[in-house]
Amino acid sequence: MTVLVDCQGLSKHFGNKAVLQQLDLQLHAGAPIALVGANGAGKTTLLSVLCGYIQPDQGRVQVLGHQAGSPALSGRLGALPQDAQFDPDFGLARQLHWLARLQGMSVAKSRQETERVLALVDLTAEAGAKVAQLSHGMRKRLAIAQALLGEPELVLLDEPTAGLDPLHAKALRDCIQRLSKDCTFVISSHNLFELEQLCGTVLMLEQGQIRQQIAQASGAGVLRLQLCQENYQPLLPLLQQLPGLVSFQIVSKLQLDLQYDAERAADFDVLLLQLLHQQGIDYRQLSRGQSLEQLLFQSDG
Amino acid sequence: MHLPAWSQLWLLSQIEWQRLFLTRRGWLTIAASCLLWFVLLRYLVMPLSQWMLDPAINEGAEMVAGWVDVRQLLLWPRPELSLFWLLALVLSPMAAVLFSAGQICRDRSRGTLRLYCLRISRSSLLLGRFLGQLLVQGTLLAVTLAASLALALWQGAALSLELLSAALFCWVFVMLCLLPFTALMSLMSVWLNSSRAAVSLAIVVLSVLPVVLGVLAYYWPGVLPLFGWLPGAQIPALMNSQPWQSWAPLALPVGQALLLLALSLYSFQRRGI
Repeated sequence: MTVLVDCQGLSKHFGNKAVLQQLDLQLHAGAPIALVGANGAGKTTLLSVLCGYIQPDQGRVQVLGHQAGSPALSGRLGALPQDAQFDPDFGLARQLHWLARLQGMSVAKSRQETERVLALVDLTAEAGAKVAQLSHGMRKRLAIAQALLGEPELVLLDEPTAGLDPLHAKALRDCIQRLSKDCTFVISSHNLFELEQLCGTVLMLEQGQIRQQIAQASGAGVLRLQLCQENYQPLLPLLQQLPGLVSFQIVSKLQLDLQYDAERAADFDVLLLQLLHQQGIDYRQLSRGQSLEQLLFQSDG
Repeated sequence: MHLPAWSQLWLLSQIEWQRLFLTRRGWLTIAASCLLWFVLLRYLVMPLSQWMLDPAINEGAEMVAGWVDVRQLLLWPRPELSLFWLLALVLSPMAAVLFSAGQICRDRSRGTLRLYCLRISRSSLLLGRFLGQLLVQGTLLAVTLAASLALALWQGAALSLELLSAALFCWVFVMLCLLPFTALMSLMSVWLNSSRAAVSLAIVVLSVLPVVLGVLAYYWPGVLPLFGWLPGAQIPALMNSQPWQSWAPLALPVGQALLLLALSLYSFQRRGI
């Protein structure tokens, strides 16, 4: 598998504060990769080091086989830096065109790419507008558009949906899913729901180190049931009679987590749905596998 | 798929140039520049040049304010151009400090620099911006020079090769004098986070350095030659020169600009963005 990012012994301090501490990391091409962690855990610093915006104090960083920040990465690495804004005095299309030209595209190709990425983020109608006229969400989408110029192999997105309305956040998730066949995304976000939907691997950064690396499995053997009303009491004795059930846990008033023997009862989910139907109990959602929140924080209790 | 370095520099300098004509800030710069030069040409250059055209003035011509030799100015093909030369030598460095203060810092504080640095090297970005500033200043200088030339023609000068050559001299030599000031602002812009801070520090550097040297020279006269190394030190000598007289005084600004640019590049490579 192609190694996209290879970090060894990476350390970065801001004053006395160690933001990255002897971090080792290897990322491979494939499904989107999530980068999670509390505020100040070092996510943005790590992405900034990978983009070459800041130099590490110690350690080695290779991105796509080149030193981070190398001009050889132009066009191969795309990034949405946190809070990066375009020049408010110029038009959207004009600035994307410049970036595409600097990336090495011909005039015709850069125009074509500008139109393509603007369409991807639903900003075609605003192509001629000045950036100063755009809303916060539109500016964010524009910044995402520049990251996709030239179809890079690796795209680093720092909080891509922060500030986006639900409609465009969903559109962006769909876009990432669609593009992730040809490109690997690394997404830093606090939105676990979003990462759960998009990412195959989750990296948890804590105190400047990768504390956990979780590969989201198929989720066989675990079901999460979310009910519409707080009426699970009559259901509990019946659940225990379902063949294959190992245990269940009442997570909240509306949510039950069930563990079952997937080998013995492959159709456990079907049986559960039939039971709900028979008992006239409405459910909101039935999903397989543990939530990302559970996976990340179960060890913390 | 990479753009050659020279193409990157040209594209970046064109972006800066477009900023002059396509943005409100650029239009304000043009308007301020035009207004200032209109006032100078109309109320200073025009009456003074008419006075200098009087043959009687040649007899009484001497040094003005101790450092402008009117006799040398009268040797120019037209007084309008010699007066423009004087004013441009004094005012253009100030304009360079004011107008080129945001070369790097404005985009860094906004985060735009991060979008560029994903695509080009920092050295290309810095040099491209520097060239862009020179292109902008060259354009403004050319426009004001054309106005001075028009004034000379309007006041009866014949359009001659000598006149055009003197105008070209003005443009080339003033631009060369601007190099260290623009490079200084490149350095200030790398070091500081706002245009205002960059201008302030540049003013402090340009005004404090001579004072420090003066104090040092008082105690150690051996440092006196260092005055000749300050940015703009060659300007008083150039004021009393005639077109194409000597290129020698220009080695200093070119050398200073190269040194300041090297320092800017070094600082920019090391700084986080």
